[in-house]
Amino acid sequence: MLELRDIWKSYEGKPLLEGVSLRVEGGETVCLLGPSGSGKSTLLRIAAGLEAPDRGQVLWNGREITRTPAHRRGFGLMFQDYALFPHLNVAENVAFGLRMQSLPEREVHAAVRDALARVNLGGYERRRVAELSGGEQQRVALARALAPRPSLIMLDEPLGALDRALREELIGEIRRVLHSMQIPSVYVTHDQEEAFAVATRVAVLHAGRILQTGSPEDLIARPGSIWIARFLGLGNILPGRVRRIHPLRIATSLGEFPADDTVSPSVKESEGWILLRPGGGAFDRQRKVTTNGIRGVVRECVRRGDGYRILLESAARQEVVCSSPEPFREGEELVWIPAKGVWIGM
Amino acid sequence: MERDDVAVAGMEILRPLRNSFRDGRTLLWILPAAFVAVFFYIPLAAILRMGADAALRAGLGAFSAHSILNVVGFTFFQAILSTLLTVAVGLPGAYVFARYKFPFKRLLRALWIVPFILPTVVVAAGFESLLGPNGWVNLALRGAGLAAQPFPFLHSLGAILLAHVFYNTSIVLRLVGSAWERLDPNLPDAARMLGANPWRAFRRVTLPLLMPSLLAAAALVFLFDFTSFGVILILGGPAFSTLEVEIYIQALQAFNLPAASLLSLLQIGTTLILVVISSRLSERAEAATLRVGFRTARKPRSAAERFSVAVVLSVLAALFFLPLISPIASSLVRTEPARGERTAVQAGFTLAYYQELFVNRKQSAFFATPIETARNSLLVATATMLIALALGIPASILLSRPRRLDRLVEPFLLLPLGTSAVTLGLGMLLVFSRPPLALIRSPLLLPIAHSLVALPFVVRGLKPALAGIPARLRQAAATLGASPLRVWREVDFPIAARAVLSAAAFAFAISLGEFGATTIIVRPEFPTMPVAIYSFLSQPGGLNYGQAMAMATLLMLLCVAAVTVIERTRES
Repeated sequence: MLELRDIWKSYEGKPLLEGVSLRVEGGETVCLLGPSGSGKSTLLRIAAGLEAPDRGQVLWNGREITRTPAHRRGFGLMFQDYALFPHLNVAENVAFGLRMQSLPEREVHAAVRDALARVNLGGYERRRVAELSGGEQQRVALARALAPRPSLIMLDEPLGALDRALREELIGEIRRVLHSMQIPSVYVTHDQEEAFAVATRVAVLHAGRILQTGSPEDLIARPGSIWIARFLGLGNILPGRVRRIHPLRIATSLGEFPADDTVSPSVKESEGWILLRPGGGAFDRQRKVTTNGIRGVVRECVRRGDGYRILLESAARQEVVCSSPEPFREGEELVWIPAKGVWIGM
Repeated sequence: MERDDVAVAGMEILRPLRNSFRDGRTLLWILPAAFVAVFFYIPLAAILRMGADAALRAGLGAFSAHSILNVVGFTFFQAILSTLLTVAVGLPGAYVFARYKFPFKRLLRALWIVPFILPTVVVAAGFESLLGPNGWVNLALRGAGLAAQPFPFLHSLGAILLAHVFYNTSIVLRLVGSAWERLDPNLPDAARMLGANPWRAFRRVTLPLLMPSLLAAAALVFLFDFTSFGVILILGGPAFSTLEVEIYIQALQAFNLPAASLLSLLQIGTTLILVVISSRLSERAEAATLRVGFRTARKPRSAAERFSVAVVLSVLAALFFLPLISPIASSLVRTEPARGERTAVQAGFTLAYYQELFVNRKQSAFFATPIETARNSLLVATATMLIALALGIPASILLSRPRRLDRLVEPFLLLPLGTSAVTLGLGMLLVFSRPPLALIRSPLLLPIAHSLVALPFVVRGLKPALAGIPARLRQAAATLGASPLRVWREVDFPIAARAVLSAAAFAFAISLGEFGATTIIVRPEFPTMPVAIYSFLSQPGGLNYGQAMAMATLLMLLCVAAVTVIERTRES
């Protein structure tokens, strides 16, 4: 089990990490999710032993390893842009970590073959890494990081440089490999879809602090702050005021909406935000519904996934986004009744 | 083949030549080609003939095959040792420059060019004033009561190696440092994460990736160490002789021109091979570019890092600055009696050595006041600059947009770069001492020789600057009605003017410091500053010593001024 305790780090006077704590249990894949510059790569490098924290501790199975150099930690790290050795071929790249353990050559060969087979690159042994495509390089990097059987594997934006179709394909592959090897892993990304696809737990990092940790479902169901809701792209966020506690109702400039009712009575009349998700709502083309609904004109209707994403403009020129299984005409007037909202306090 | 076919084939071959006559390219070639042919290739041929004669008829006089082996052996030995030492000193420096930010980094980087352009006699004077019998180190040792006799640092292999390290470390810093800058720092980190300790990560990942640039740097350093002349002559003393020094001794002291020619042949052959190897390695190093624009320098963080960076930079600073500052100090402080003086020395600040430069002494080696050598040097340097530009500008124009024929000519134009200066001087001595071209007494022979040394540098500096001007600009000017000459004047020249100025300063500085060819062909009544410094250094007494230091300081200042012009024009 990896434990980071109150990690602080600044670089040339600029704070990068401000008291970050995180645990990664055996068999778990923890995703560090945050925009670029949030400090996630720095945190990873501190866990790896490539950087020392200014303050705080790194523990492995309860033993402090804050000052243990990288090569004695037995962790694996897959680098952003892969950092494949350009002077070595595919097999030599994958064998590097095994050779560092002074394994007999025969075992090295066998392990390299296994590792390449695991990422579907059997037969690529003698290829030069510069000749490989982006996706192939990514797989070699994964094979190289996993070949020495690290006790913890860290992946820094492993799909960052790849195009969309390839990412979808490789994300499944990474998840399969990580789960099949049953080693704890830390996965750094700025892309929530990627994070939700591989993680058992997600830690949202922003400006050097962890804002919220939880399962992907948790995060989606109750984002801890408006910043997280926006970053995760969960939907429409409207300023509002708590009107009633039981059942919870929030008043906004677009009307009053019901919300999940797990708040204390003390928040009555307090200001905050309500999240109205685009999905799960209903539409009223006859425009009969007056409460709980938003009346507006369809300004845009774009195909998105299995359905349509609709931009609705209210009479007060406020725009909301909703999704629908069927298309609407642009210019059509209708009422959207969103699903129950989520109240996010200040 | 029918007769007509042959004629047609002949026409085909001649077509580029004909075309190039038509558009005036051949006209541009005439001056540089004729110059190099007369003043480089004819002397080269003379050396070849005399050297071959000497070898075939064993007419070596007192100079035996055994001595040749000794000389060749020592030449390689000192060059290998110097190269290894230079790499050992330069590698940590290259790392620090590539990976760390520190105060005055830009300034220090700009100073890398200084040792490269500093005359050998000035460097020799610098080490003399630092490590000589009356140098600062020996004065300090005596002052501290640690040594009764001056410690003989000089006239040793160590002195030669130290001066070579001083001269060439900047090559390693430049070539390996820039490769290291472009090396993705994640690569050694990746090795660490796979279980490699820092040393293994360096040996298995960083070093192999730096190897092309390291080899290119080492080859270049080796070439310079192999052909080094002034350093070995002055700092090595009579006990050490390399090919280059032996050519000089055989030609000027033993008057054994056949032996000198044979040694020159050996020298030319070896340096040619070295030049080819070195340029191949440089090409490969350029091809091995890892990542363009990857800048990762950061401030040192931990105390250990700060300490190591400070140590490396201090060693480099001591290496670069002490030999430069020390002769200045020696020129201003009196530490030993002048020749013939018996009184105890009154040590202290003095301007006497500078004043003495303006006095015409009977026992002086010169016919005039020493300061006149400065005038001679400036005259020669100005003439060199003009000749080198007159030859280099047309050659660079042609080579910046080369046709097939031009590409064939280029190596012939740049060959003087691979030929040692002493060999150049010897060839001129052989050819121009007698009719039909008895130029040895002409005041122009010195600038001509210097121009040959400077020409490859001028072309190398100008060619990329000219080639870098977008063709669209020229085409735009042409469509607006400018003739080719007008296009050059209105477009190329204003853009290339900086490069021309930089090349001019380079040629000027090279001429100021040129020593190898100069010692052989200089007229005794027209000595240049390096010749005067050498002559002061080889005579005993505090006055000569002080004058050598004063003159070296003046020459250094002139060269630094030239470097400043070069750096200024390069920067903006």
